[in-house]
Amino acid sequence: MRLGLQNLTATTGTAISLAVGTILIGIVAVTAHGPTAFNLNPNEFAWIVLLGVLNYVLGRYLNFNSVNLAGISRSAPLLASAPLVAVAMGILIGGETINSFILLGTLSIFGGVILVATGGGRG
Amino acid sequence: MTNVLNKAINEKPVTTGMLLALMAATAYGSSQFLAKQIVTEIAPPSVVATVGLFSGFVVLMGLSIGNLPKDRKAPKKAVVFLILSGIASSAGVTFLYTALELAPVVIVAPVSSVTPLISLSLAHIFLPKMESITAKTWVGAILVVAGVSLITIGSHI
Repeated sequence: MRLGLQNLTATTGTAISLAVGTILIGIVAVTAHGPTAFNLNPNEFAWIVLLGVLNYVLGRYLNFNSVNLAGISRSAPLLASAPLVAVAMGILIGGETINSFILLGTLSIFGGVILVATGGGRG
Repeated sequence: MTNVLNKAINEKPVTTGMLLALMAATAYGSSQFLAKQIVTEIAPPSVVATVGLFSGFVVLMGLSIGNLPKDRKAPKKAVVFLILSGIASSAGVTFLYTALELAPVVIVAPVSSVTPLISLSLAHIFLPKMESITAKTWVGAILVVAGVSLITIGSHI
């Protein structure tokens, strides 16, 4: 992605990447589930569109602008908290349970991702 | 709304940037939780990934219309790299949704967040002039691997 984006704007580059993914995974979906794979009602379709927009458009837009405004060293630790949000929602809304190993592991990954994201020097 | 945002950006850019980072984390985190509900109740992972990717593509194409005249001049090599990126990232999304179909969010979300570590490792191998690895990165990598190991142990208890 980074190699490709040296000569293209981020939105166009990401759009090309998503178009390729749509075709590729679309073929996989039809092969695995038959031609009726995409028979979704409008409500189901809307939920999946919301997921796509939340992840590929809103998330990336906010991510890109946060790095531009605050710098990678300030924004990376906050961005790394995304799995903590997912875990919190899984517990609070989804009713999932967590043990001390999973909690420690989650915090360890959180700390590690912050260090990796802020420690990568540019040559 | 736009005026309020522009005012905030001009007056407190760092604070606004950090607020946007928190909002991005919330968007990414909640999208994983939402994906879990969708792949378990609405449609299989490959169908969800296709429709999700297509939705993102449509919105981003709309946003990038103004850039198209300039982007058309990009070398074919750049497009090839983006096609390869599309293949890898779409496979990643499908694997993520399949994982969410099979396992709880509390396990999948932290383990799937190791992406920066893998990106950095690949960048170090293929782009050694652009990325270097520091001691801080090594400590981070060890913490990530340790975290994944702990979650693997915890998921079997």
